[in-house]
Amino acid sequence: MKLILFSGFVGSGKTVLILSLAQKIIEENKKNAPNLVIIENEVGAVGIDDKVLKSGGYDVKNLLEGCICCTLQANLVTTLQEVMKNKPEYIIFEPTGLAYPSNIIETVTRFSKMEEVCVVAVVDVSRFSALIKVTPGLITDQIVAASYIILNKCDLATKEKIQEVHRQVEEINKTAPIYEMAAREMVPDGVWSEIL
Amino acid sequence: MKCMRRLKAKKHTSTLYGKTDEAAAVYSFEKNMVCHKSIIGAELTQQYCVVMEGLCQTWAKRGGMVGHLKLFLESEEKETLWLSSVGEEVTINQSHGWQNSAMTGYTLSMTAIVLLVPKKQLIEDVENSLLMHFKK
Repeated sequence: MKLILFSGFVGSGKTVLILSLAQKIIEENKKNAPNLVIIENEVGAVGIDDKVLKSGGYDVKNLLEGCICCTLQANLVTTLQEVMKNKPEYIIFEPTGLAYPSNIIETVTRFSKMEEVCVVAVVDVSRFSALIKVTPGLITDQIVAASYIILNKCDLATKEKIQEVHRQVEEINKTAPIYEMAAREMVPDGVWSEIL
Repeated sequence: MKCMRRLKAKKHTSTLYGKTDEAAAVYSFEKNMVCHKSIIGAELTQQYCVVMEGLCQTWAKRGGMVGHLKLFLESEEKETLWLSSVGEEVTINQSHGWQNSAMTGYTLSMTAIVLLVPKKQLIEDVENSLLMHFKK
Protein backbone atom coordinates (compact mmCIF):
# COMPACT_ATOMS: atom_id res chain seq x y z
CA MET A 1 0.00 0.00 0.00
CA LYS A 2 1.46 3.34 -1.02
CA LEU A 3 0.38 6.80 0.04
CA ILE A 4 1.05 9.66 -2.34
CA LEU A 5 0.60 13.07 -0.78
CA PHE A 6 0.32 16.11 -3.04
CA SER A 7 1.54 19.28 -1.35
CA GLY A 8 1.47 22.70 -2.93
CA PHE A 9 -0.17 26.07 -2.48
CA VAL A 10 -3.82 26.61 -3.44
CA GLY A 11 -4.18 26.97 -7.19
CA SER A 12 -0.87 25.28 -8.01
CA GLY A 13 -2.62 22.53 -10.01
CA LYS A 14 -2.79 19.62 -7.56
CA THR A 15 -6.27 18.46 -8.60
CA VAL A 16 -5.42 18.44 -12.32
CA LEU A 17 -2.30 16.39 -11.58
CA ILE A 18 -4.23 13.97 -9.38
CA LEU A 19 -6.78 13.45 -12.18
CA SER A 20 -3.91 12.53 -14.48
CA LEU A 21 -2.25 10.20 -11.96
CA ALA A 22 -5.56 8.55 -11.03
CA GLN A 23 -6.22 7.81 -14.70
CA LYS A 24 -2.77 6.23 -15.02
CA ILE A 25 -3.34 4.06 -11.91
CA ILE A 26 -6.76 2.89 -13.09
CA GLU A 27 -5.48 2.14 -16.61
CA GLU A 28 -2.66 0.00 -15.23
CA ASN A 29 -4.81 -1.78 -12.66
CA LYS A 30 -4.47 -5.48 -13.37
CA LYS A 31 -6.66 -6.55 -10.46
CA ASN A 32 -10.41 -6.94 -10.65
CA ALA A 33 -10.88 -4.91 -7.47
CA PRO A 34 -10.61 -1.10 -7.28
CA ASN A 35 -7.06 -0.17 -6.23
CA LEU A 36 -7.24 3.57 -5.59
CA VAL A 37 -8.83 5.85 -2.99
CA ILE A 38 -8.44 9.63 -3.00
CA ILE A 39 -8.72 11.57 0.27
CA GLU A 40 -9.66 15.18 -0.33
CA ASN A 41 -9.20 17.93 2.21
CA GLU A 42 -10.53 21.43 1.67
CA VAL A 43 -10.61 24.45 3.96
CA GLY A 44 -14.11 25.41 2.93
CA ALA A 45 -17.20 23.66 4.27
CA VAL A 46 -18.23 22.96 0.69
CA GLY A 47 -15.97 20.77 -1.41
CA ILE A 48 -15.17 21.62 -5.03
CA ASP A 49 -12.23 19.34 -5.83
CA ASP A 50 -14.06 16.25 -4.58
CA LYS A 51 -16.89 17.00 -7.01
CA VAL A 52 -14.40 17.34 -9.85
CA LEU A 53 -12.71 14.02 -8.96
CA LYS A 54 -16.01 12.22 -8.38
CA SER A 55 -17.22 13.39 -11.79
CA GLY A 56 -14.20 11.45 -13.14
CA GLY A 57 -15.61 8.32 -11.50
CA TYR A 58 -13.06 8.01 -8.69
CA ASP A 59 -13.56 6.85 -5.11
CA VAL A 60 -13.18 10.03 -3.04
CA LYS A 61 -13.37 10.57 0.73
CA ASN A 62 -13.91 14.08 2.03
CA LEU A 63 -12.42 15.99 4.93
CA LEU A 64 -13.92 19.46 4.84
CA GLU A 65 -13.85 22.73 6.76
CA GLY A 66 -10.37 22.54 8.18
CA CYS A 67 -6.88 21.35 7.51
CA ILE A 68 -5.52 17.83 8.01
CA CYS A 69 -2.15 19.20 9.10
CA CYS A 70 -3.71 20.84 12.16
CA THR A 71 -7.46 21.14 12.89
CA LEU A 72 -8.52 17.86 11.24
CA GLN A 73 -5.67 15.60 12.35
CA ALA A 74 -7.96 13.22 14.27
CA ASN A 75 -10.35 12.99 11.29
CA LEU A 76 -7.39 12.21 9.05
CA VAL A 77 -6.35 9.29 11.23
CA THR A 78 -9.83 7.75 11.41
CA THR A 79 -10.45 8.24 7.67
CA LEU A 80 -7.08 6.73 6.81
CA GLN A 81 -7.64 3.72 9.06
CA GLU A 82 -11.08 3.20 7.50
CA VAL A 83 -9.68 3.40 3.95
CA MET A 84 -6.80 1.04 4.77
CA LYS A 85 -9.23 -1.72 5.80
CA ASN A 86 -10.02 -2.30 2.12
CA LYS A 87 -6.31 -2.50 1.28
CA PRO A 88 -6.18 -0.34 -1.85
CA GLU A 89 -2.88 -0.39 -3.67
CA TYR A 90 -2.72 3.40 -3.70
CA ILE A 91 -4.08 6.17 -1.50
CA ILE A 92 -3.76 9.71 -2.82
CA PHE A 93 -4.01 12.63 -0.39
CA GLU A 94 -4.89 16.10 -1.58
CA PRO A 95 -4.54 18.34 1.45
CA THR A 96 -5.60 21.95 1.39
CA GLY A 97 -3.03 24.20 -0.24
CA LEU A 98 -2.53 25.83 3.16
CA ALA A 99 -1.28 22.59 4.74
CA TYR A 100 2.18 21.93 6.12
CA PRO A 101 3.04 18.46 4.73
CA SER A 102 5.63 17.78 7.46
CA ASN A 103 2.78 17.77 10.02
CA ILE A 104 0.75 15.35 7.89
CA ILE A 105 3.66 12.95 7.43
CA GLU A 106 4.25 12.96 11.19
CA THR A 107 0.58 12.07 11.83
CA VAL A 108 0.49 9.38 9.15
CA THR A 109 3.70 7.66 10.25
CA ARG A 110 2.72 7.79 13.91
CA PHE A 111 -0.83 6.46 13.60
CA SER A 112 -0.87 4.20 10.54
CA LYS A 113 1.15 1.28 9.25
CA MET A 114 1.56 2.71 5.78
CA GLU A 115 4.24 0.80 3.88
CA GLU A 116 5.38 3.69 1.74
CA VAL A 117 4.73 7.42 1.83
CA CYS A 118 5.85 9.80 -0.87
CA VAL A 119 5.28 13.53 -1.15
CA VAL A 120 4.84 15.28 -4.49
CA ALA A 121 5.25 19.05 -4.16
CA VAL A 122 3.51 21.10 -6.82
CA VAL A 123 4.98 24.55 -7.42
CA ASP A 124 3.22 27.18 -9.52
CA VAL A 125 6.18 28.62 -11.44
CA SER A 126 4.25 31.70 -12.52
CA ARG A 127 3.49 32.73 -8.91
CA PHE A 128 6.45 31.36 -6.98
CA SER A 129 8.27 34.67 -6.51
CA ALA A 130 5.14 36.38 -5.20
CA LEU A 131 4.09 33.52 -2.91
CA ILE A 132 7.50 32.99 -1.32
CA LYS A 133 7.36 36.66 -0.22
CA VAL A 134 3.79 36.55 1.12
CA THR A 135 3.87 33.13 2.79
CA PRO A 136 7.51 31.97 3.01
CA GLY A 137 7.14 29.45 5.86
CA LEU A 138 4.38 27.49 4.17
CA ILE A 139 5.90 27.42 0.68
CA THR A 140 9.29 26.37 2.06
CA ASP A 141 7.78 23.55 4.15
CA GLN A 142 5.85 22.24 1.15
CA ILE A 143 9.09 21.99 -0.86
CA VAL A 144 11.36 20.73 1.94
CA ALA A 145 9.08 17.77 2.65
CA ALA A 146 8.94 16.61 -0.99
CA SER A 147 10.19 13.35 -2.46
CA TYR A 148 9.42 14.71 -5.95
CA ILE A 149 8.83 18.27 -7.12
CA ILE A 150 6.70 19.35 -10.05
CA LEU A 151 7.25 22.84 -11.43
CA ASN A 152 3.82 23.39 -12.92
CA LYS A 153 2.32 26.04 -15.21
CA CYS A 154 5.57 26.39 -17.15
CA ASP A 155 3.45 27.50 -20.10
CA LEU A 156 2.77 30.74 -18.23
CA ALA A 157 6.41 31.61 -17.59
CA THR A 158 9.48 32.54 -19.63
CA LYS A 159 12.43 30.16 -19.94
CA GLU A 160 14.49 32.48 -17.71
CA LYS A 161 11.77 32.55 -15.05
CA ILE A 162 11.52 28.74 -15.06
CA GLN A 163 15.30 28.44 -14.67
CA GLU A 164 15.30 30.92 -11.79
CA VAL A 165 12.46 29.14 -9.94
CA HIS A 166 14.16 25.79 -10.60
CA ARG A 167 17.35 27.12 -9.00
CA GLN A 168 15.51 28.53 -5.95
CA VAL A 169 13.52 25.33 -5.43
CA GLU A 170 16.66 23.23 -5.76
CA GLU A 171 18.30 25.35 -3.06
CA ILE A 172 15.42 24.55 -0.69
CA ASN A 173 15.37 20.81 -1.48
CA LYS A 174 18.61 19.48 -2.93
CA THR A 175 17.62 15.80 -3.21
CA ALA A 176 14.17 15.60 -4.82
CA PRO A 177 13.96 15.15 -8.60
CA ILE A 178 12.38 18.19 -10.28
CA TYR A 179 10.04 17.92 -13.27
CA GLU A 180 8.96 20.89 -15.38
CA MET A 181 5.57 20.80 -17.08
CA ALA A 182 2.22 22.39 -17.91
CA ALA A 183 -0.04 19.70 -16.44
CA ARG A 184 -3.25 21.10 -17.91
CA GLU A 185 -1.76 20.43 -21.35
CA MET A 186 0.17 17.22 -20.69
CA VAL A 187 2.09 15.35 -18.03
CA PRO A 188 5.34 14.20 -19.72
CA ASP A 189 5.78 10.47 -20.27
CA GLY A 190 7.55 8.66 -17.51
CA VAL A 191 6.83 11.05 -14.63
CA TRP A 192 4.07 8.94 -13.08
CA SER A 193 5.99 5.72 -13.68
CA GLU A 194 8.88 7.08 -11.62
CA ILE A 195 6.61 8.26 -8.82
CA LEU A 196 4.57 5.04 -8.70
CA MET B 1 -28.13 38.69 -18.17
CA LYS B 2 -30.01 38.96 -14.87
CA CYS B 3 -32.17 35.90 -14.85
CA MET B 4 -31.53 34.05 -11.63
CA ARG B 5 -32.53 34.25 -8.04
CA ARG B 6 -31.14 32.36 -5.13
CA LEU B 7 -33.36 29.83 -3.41
CA LYS B 8 -31.46 28.88 -0.32
CA ALA B 9 -27.91 29.20 0.83
CA LYS B 10 -25.59 27.46 3.25
CA LYS B 11 -22.83 29.88 4.18
CA HIS B 12 -19.61 29.00 5.91
CA THR B 13 -16.53 31.04 6.55
CA SER B 14 -13.23 30.36 8.17
CA THR B 15 -9.74 31.74 8.45
CA LEU B 16 -6.70 29.52 8.69
CA TYR B 17 -3.44 30.60 10.20
CA GLY B 18 -0.07 29.11 9.42
CA LYS B 19 2.93 28.86 11.71
CA THR B 20 3.82 32.51 11.26
CA ASP B 21 1.51 35.42 10.61
CA GLU B 22 0.63 34.03 7.19
CA ALA B 23 -3.13 33.99 6.89
CA ALA B 24 -5.74 33.37 4.24
CA ALA B 25 -9.40 34.30 4.37
CA VAL B 26 -11.76 31.62 3.13
CA TYR B 27 -15.38 31.88 1.99
CA SER B 28 -17.15 28.73 0.85
CA PHE B 29 -20.80 28.05 0.12
CA GLU B 30 -23.31 26.11 -1.93
CA LYS B 31 -26.48 27.64 -3.39
CA ASN B 32 -29.34 26.25 -5.41
CA MET B 33 -29.94 28.63 -8.30
CA VAL B 34 -33.21 28.91 -10.21
CA CYS B 35 -33.51 30.59 -13.61
CA HIS B 36 -36.67 32.42 -14.62
CA LYS B 37 -36.20 31.16 -18.14
CA SER B 38 -34.16 28.39 -19.65
CA ILE B 39 -30.49 29.16 -20.12
CA ILE B 40 -27.78 27.17 -21.89
CA GLY B 41 -24.50 26.13 -20.29
CA ALA B 42 -22.36 28.21 -22.64
CA GLU B 43 -24.11 31.40 -21.49
CA LEU B 44 -23.61 30.53 -17.84
CA THR B 45 -19.93 29.82 -18.45
CA GLN B 46 -19.55 33.27 -19.92
CA GLN B 47 -21.41 34.96 -17.06
CA TYR B 48 -19.43 33.23 -14.34
CA CYS B 49 -16.13 33.99 -16.09
CA VAL B 50 -17.10 37.67 -15.93
CA VAL B 51 -17.93 37.31 -12.21
CA MET B 52 -14.58 35.65 -11.49
CA GLU B 53 -12.53 38.15 -13.48
CA GLY B 54 -14.33 41.02 -11.73
CA LEU B 55 -13.68 39.58 -8.27
CA CYS B 56 -10.01 39.00 -9.02
CA GLN B 57 -9.66 42.59 -10.21
CA THR B 58 -11.44 43.88 -7.09
CA TRP B 59 -9.12 41.98 -4.75
CA ALA B 60 -6.05 43.06 -6.69
CA LYS B 61 -7.15 46.69 -6.26
CA ARG B 62 -7.55 46.06 -2.54
CA GLY B 63 -3.94 44.84 -2.36
CA GLY B 64 -4.97 41.24 -1.95
CA MET B 65 -3.61 38.11 -3.55
CA VAL B 66 -5.97 35.48 -4.86
CA GLY B 67 -4.96 32.10 -3.51
CA HIS B 68 -7.63 30.24 -5.42
CA LEU B 69 -11.09 31.10 -6.64
CA LYS B 70 -13.05 28.08 -7.82
CA LEU B 71 -16.60 27.29 -8.84
CA PHE B 72 -18.42 24.09 -9.60
CA LEU B 73 -21.84 24.13 -11.27
CA GLU B 74 -24.02 21.07 -11.67
CA SER B 75 -27.21 21.09 -13.71
CA GLU B 76 -30.34 19.04 -13.05
CA GLU B 77 -29.12 16.66 -15.77
CA LYS B 78 -25.78 16.25 -13.94
CA GLU B 79 -23.83 18.20 -16.53
CA THR B 80 -20.93 19.99 -14.83
CA LEU B 81 -18.78 23.08 -15.14
CA TRP B 82 -15.56 23.69 -13.17
CA LEU B 83 -13.98 27.13 -13.24
CA SER B 84 -10.84 28.12 -11.41
CA SER B 85 -8.57 31.13 -11.25
CA VAL B 86 -5.55 32.27 -9.31
CA GLY B 87 -6.03 35.89 -10.28
CA GLU B 88 -5.48 36.24 -13.99
CA GLU B 89 -7.08 33.96 -16.52
CA VAL B 90 -10.00 31.64 -15.75
CA THR B 91 -9.48 27.94 -16.47
CA ILE B 92 -12.59 26.22 -17.81
CA ASN B 93 -13.35 22.49 -17.59
CA GLN B 94 -16.77 21.08 -18.43
CA SER B 95 -18.58 17.84 -19.04
CA HIS B 96 -19.29 16.91 -22.68
CA GLY B 97 -22.92 18.02 -22.58
CA TRP B 98 -22.55 21.22 -20.54
CA GLN B 99 -22.05 23.71 -23.37
CA ASN B 100 -25.39 23.05 -25.11
CA SER B 101 -27.36 21.88 -22.11
CA ALA B 102 -30.48 23.98 -21.43
CA MET B 103 -31.40 24.33 -17.77
CA THR B 104 -33.77 26.14 -15.45
CA GLY B 105 -31.79 25.43 -12.32
CA TYR B 106 -28.39 24.33 -11.10
CA THR B 107 -26.28 24.01 -7.96
CA LEU B 108 -23.48 26.51 -7.48
CA SER B 109 -20.55 25.60 -5.20
CA MET B 110 -17.91 28.24 -4.69
CA THR B 111 -14.73 28.63 -2.66
CA ALA B 112 -12.65 31.79 -2.46
CA ILE B 113 -9.27 31.73 -0.72
CA VAL B 114 -7.64 35.15 -0.65
CA LEU B 115 -4.55 36.48 1.11
CA LEU B 116 -4.24 40.02 2.50
CA VAL B 117 -7.97 40.83 2.29
CA PRO B 118 -10.12 40.77 5.47
CA LYS B 119 -12.66 37.97 5.63
CA LYS B 120 -15.62 40.35 5.96
CA GLN B 121 -14.54 42.20 2.86
CA LEU B 122 -14.11 38.94 0.96
CA ILE B 123 -17.67 37.83 1.78
CA GLU B 124 -19.11 41.22 0.91
CA ASP B 125 -17.32 41.30 -2.44
CA VAL B 126 -18.53 37.83 -3.42
CA GLU B 127 -22.13 38.44 -2.38
CA ASN B 128 -22.28 41.84 -4.07
CA SER B 129 -20.88 40.41 -7.29
CA LEU B 130 -23.40 37.56 -7.38
CA LEU B 131 -26.25 39.95 -6.61
CA MET B 132 -25.13 42.34 -9.33
CA HIS B 133 -24.95 39.61 -11.97
CA PHE B 134 -27.77 37.30 -10.96
CA LYS B 135 -30.32 39.33 -9.02
CA LYS B 136 -33.95 38.59 -9.79
